[in-house]
Amino acid sequence: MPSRVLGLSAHYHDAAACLMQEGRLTAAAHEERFTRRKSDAELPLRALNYCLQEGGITAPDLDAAVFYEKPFLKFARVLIGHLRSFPRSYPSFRRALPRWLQDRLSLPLTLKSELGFSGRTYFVKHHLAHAAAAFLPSGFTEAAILTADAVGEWATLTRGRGSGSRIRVESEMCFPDSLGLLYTAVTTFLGFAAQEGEGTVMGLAAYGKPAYLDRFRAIAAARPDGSFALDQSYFDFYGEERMYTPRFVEAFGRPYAPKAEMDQRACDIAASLQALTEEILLALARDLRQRTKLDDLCLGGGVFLNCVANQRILEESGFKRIFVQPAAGDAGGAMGAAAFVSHCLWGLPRGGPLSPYLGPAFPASRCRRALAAAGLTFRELPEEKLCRETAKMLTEGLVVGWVQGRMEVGPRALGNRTILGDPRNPQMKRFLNDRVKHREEFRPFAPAVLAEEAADYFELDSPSPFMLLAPRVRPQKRAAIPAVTHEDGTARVQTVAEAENPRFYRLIKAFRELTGVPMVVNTSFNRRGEPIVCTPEDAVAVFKATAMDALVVGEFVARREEHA
Amino acid sequence: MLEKLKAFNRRVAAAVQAVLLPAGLFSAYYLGLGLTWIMVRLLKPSVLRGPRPPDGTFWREARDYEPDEADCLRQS
Repeated sequence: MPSRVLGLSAHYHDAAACLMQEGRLTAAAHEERFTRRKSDAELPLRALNYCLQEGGITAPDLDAAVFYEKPFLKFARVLIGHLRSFPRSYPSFRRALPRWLQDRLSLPLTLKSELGFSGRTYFVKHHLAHAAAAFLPSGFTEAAILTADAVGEWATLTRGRGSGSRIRVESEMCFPDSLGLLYTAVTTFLGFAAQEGEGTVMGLAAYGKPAYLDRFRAIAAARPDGSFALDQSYFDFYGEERMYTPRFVEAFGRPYAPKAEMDQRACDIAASLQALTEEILLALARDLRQRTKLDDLCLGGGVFLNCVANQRILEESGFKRIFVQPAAGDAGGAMGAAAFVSHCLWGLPRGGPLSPYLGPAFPASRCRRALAAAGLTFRELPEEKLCRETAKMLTEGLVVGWVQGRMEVGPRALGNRTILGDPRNPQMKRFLNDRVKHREEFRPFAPAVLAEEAADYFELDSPSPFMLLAPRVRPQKRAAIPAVTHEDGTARVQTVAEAENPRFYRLIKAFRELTGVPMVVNTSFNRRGEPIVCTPEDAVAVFKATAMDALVVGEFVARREEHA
Repeated sequence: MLEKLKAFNRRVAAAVQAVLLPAGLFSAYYLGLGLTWIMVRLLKPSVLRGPRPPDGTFWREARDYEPDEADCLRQS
């Protein structure tokens, strides 16, 4: 019986690979972490080689490879899209066509030449991959499924249900009516990079008022069931430089240059876009709840990296529980495609809860070598002392880089490739943004909190292990944790359970023992514009290039003052 | 000598590609897609608008989302 399948996503943004063996996800990683190119979209050869190595197999041992979309269908959509916007679409056509003809339509041949793999290559529709990625690892036996992203082959939004190992996608909305593309278009209007700056816009929204909501509502005409059509006179999704037209500029004013100062108009536009997004997603979820009468909802696709919208869906849609997997975007499509083949095609049983720690880990010898090669002075400590000392450094106001165990899959650092700080320190946010992350001062930071004490600080009654919910901080606690309380009184919480990440849990516990506060500031271990670190060497490089005070890699602790 | 010849060949190939590729793409776009656009506008303009969703909703019935193994082996 076949049991080993390699999942792949590539050629749009954020390429990734994963390996499933016997129906269990044994490895998954983003290509960007290895190539050090943010959102690398190339075929993820390094990531897939890592997955094979982690699984202890070679390419010929695989029973199948699976790609997260149908390339010919997508190519047809690209051609028809260019046809629809003829003759404006020439610049985009000139860029896109060579890439398609070069390698995107010949994946099996590429896998054979690059990997020596000549087995079966499956292709699963993009939104089916998202639906599978959302439902199959959710632990729900039956659930409603909603997926939303920029665009797959044609679909931009789907709804359906999952039961056991069966997934039924019942309806879809299609390109160019896309919530993901709308969000990305406005992201670029505000001067941020497409596919990267959407989270920044979500953070910016807290500083504004939805003064432009009516204008957005006029552009995205929504029905009571949440379905909508975008007025295409405002958008040019095949434009050379901009995704929006002069009409959009007429409605919202001049666009912002990259790195421009964010004024009140920018904040209000972001707030209005966020409000519209929440409005539409809530209507979609409520309608789905009415149709299915189910209690559980699985959300898939990059739109559901929007933790503020997820929180509202959890609180207001009528569903009792929601599940969003840590790599809800396209990288997770690789995992969804592989899960679909394993469980739905091959009938292998669905596994236990999903762990996000599926990337590479490095032995102590490699960590020691990386620190020594960089000329850092360091000490090796047993785990208990390591956690105590790190917690003590945090109480002293120091910023600590923390690299442990297997790297996370998904865009969030969840305690293994993380920069840590003291949530009680009101200066921490400014210091981290300015001196360590080198990014906009309004960007918020997230708390990693002991799961059993999360409800004391946040209006949260379900776990949030993947940092994909943004509950309100309890009003009486806001002053106690200023570094992680966002402008609107919410926080993007990660709840940490001992069973899920024992060392990170013990570190937070140690911090709690010293301060009474059961959480730390947790932000991804990278600099602006760079992927999250993967190896000890990557971590050392970021440490040396920023104002971080200490670096903990495995059992080794290096402090800046000791080698200054 | 062989290496020099190879390098020379690479430069020639790159030069030919630099000329032919834009010309080919220009022709493919303005002749291929352009003629198609004119014909579609005349004969079946609905292709340019996209399918009309049912009244009262923009949802469409989803098709081909329960593939079997043979479906999954196809790229389309």
